[in-house]
Amino acid sequence: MQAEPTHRVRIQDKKKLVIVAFFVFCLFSLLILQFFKIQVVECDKWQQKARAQHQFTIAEPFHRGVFYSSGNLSSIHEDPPQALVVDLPMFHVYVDPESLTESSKEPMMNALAPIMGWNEQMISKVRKEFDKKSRSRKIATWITHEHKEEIETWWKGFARRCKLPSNAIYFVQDYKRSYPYGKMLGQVLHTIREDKDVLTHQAIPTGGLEYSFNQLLQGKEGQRLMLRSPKFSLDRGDVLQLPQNGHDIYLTIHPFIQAIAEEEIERGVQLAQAKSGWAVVMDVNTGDILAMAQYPFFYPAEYRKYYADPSLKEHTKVKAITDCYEPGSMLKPLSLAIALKANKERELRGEKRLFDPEAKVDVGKIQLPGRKVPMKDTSTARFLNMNMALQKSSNLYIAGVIQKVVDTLGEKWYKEQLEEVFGFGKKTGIELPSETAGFLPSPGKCYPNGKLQWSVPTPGCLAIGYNLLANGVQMLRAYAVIASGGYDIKPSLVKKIVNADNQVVYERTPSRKLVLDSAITDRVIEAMKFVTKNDGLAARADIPGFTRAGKTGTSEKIRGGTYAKNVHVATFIGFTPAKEAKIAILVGIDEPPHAPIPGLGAMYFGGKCAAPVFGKIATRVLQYLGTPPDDPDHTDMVQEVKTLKNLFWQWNKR
Amino acid sequence: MNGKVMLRMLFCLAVFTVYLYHIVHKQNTLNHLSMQIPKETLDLKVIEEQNVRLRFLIDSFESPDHLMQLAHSPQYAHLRHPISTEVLHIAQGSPLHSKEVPQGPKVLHPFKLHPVLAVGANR
Repeated sequence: MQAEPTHRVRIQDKKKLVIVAFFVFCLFSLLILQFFKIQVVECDKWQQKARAQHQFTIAEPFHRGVFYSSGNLSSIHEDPPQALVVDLPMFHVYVDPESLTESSKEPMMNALAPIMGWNEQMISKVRKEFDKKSRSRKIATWITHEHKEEIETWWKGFARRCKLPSNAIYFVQDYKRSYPYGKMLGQVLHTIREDKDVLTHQAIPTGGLEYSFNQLLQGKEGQRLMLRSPKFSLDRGDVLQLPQNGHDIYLTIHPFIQAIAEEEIERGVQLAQAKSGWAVVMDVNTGDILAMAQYPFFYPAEYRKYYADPSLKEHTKVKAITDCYEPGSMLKPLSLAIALKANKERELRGEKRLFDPEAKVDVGKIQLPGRKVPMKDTSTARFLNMNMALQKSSNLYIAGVIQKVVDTLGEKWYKEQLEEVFGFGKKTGIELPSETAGFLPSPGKCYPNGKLQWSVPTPGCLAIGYNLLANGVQMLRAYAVIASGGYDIKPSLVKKIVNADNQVVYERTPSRKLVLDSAITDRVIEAMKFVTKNDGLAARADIPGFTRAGKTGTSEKIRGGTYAKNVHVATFIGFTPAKEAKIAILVGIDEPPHAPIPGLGAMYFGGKCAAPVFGKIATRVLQYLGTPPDDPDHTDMVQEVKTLKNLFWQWNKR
Repeated sequence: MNGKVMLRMLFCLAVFTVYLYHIVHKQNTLNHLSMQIPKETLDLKVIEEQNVRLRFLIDSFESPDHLMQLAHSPQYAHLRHPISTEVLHIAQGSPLHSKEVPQGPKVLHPFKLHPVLAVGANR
């Protein structure tokens, strides 16, 4: 009797059980279906969402290529190439304001300010960043590894105490252009701006070699995975794409020679109380620029200061290539070389020579056609030969000789010599931006105002370095033609370029094209040697133990379209040793005062302020290189100088 | 007979187990090492960057400007740059009293010996 209802219950239970089981099965099936939908059908969508929450990619910075100095120059020094620029790893500090609590912001500021050395203005600026509705605000840039560690140590304890997420402050690494030698070679190297191009994330160069070689120096960013979760701070994941580093550039600059040039030009400018000055040292056989110094200096790391102040901005450019001026007397040795070449040209044609360098010339009788104001000499001497003319820097003698050249061989021939042999009116091709080509007048061409560039008196003016414009490196190149025995020397700052895989992609091989006969250059050098001896205008360019040759120049600057009588550029270019020269040096002193300096006298002459700087640089460079003296007893040309002096007095006695 | 087969099978199983253990152990070691690679890479990078920073500090200290300043100080006033003809270059160094003739490949980068005599010496 009792078993029946139990049996009935069991059947009912079974039915219920089946229904429940079916229901559960359906639910489970739905779950499986949903699971299938999420895992398989919408796999990509949810994967992306998950990745967006826990992973993101950041740019992996690349190393911008750096500049290295030249290696061994002399057998007595072990000089491996030195990095002139280093990309130092530094950090930017970011904060996540949304994860900070109101009560934690003030204590954070109080703790961060002393570590970062912020002033009141900076504190209020950063404090405002803390209140912004953002997940990422940059609060400090370019902090050192030590500062980063200090912040991290403080933050660990602070975040735990205030129950803040440990990634509410985080660091992003970047590489900062840093200069181990400070201001050295500042104008030539230049720098890159602290901010980067928003689209390409590439550095923006401010000028100099950084600008010229920007395409090669810049690399390509890689990609790195970053992981985050509520419990853990940002963790660096794998590198998805390796960054591509830029090319490294090996310069011809030698750091010690550069330092010598910078020290001496600074001293020279300060002594002459001039506005600025520059010195360029070049290997006359290869055209390698060993030093390119300029004072006042430009500190690349402080570039903002220079660009913010108009009076400092001009010190950011390389004046030896950007500023051109009339070379004045420095052109005289080159004019004589052209005159000697004209002599040879005439001899080849079977005609009589134009002039005899040893002959006594009455400069008082020289007539220069087309001049409204007669040309004058600073010296009152009337009778000169070529050596005396260069020694005393005679305008009349040299202008007279060139007038003969033009009268016989023509204006075109003369212009070709200045252009093709000495490179006037053409850029030297040195690897720096903003090089000026200078100016060389052309027969038949007109200025914008309609006046002819080349008129009757032009050759006479060109002969003594007026009516044309040239930059310092152009002049140095022209002198290197004489010093090297007639070879066309191309000045260069770059020795080789190496890519990120250490493969040499460019290596410079100096070209040696003969443009002038060595007999001509030898004769000009002989005359130039008298300039740096007693009775010469550049006797102060003395280099103890070594022979040297050179020429001074004192040009008036053009102000408001006319020659300013009181504003000068004083220059000296010379090379040493005189025979088989090793180095040529250009020294330019910009705007030395016209008025005499107490105790020193008038310092605006090239022989007074530029020549001594040449002497000091050359002496120290030759000592550094260990070059054996070629005139240890200082007896070179003593007899010749004496003979020339006697002859001069004999011809010009009153 | 069955006992012998069992014994052989047990022996094979034992060898197989040892071999398997060895493989698993080796795999674990490899896994352990591969797990250390990212950490070691990071450490290496930190050391390399530290090296760059230190090199920068050394270069700043040894800058030509600073070395010239030092050279101007009185304690180094007696020093001078040697002339290239005063410096002896020895192409390859070899022990003075060694009886053995050096064998093997030639030194590709022969070192230069700069005798102390070259700097500040009176000849």
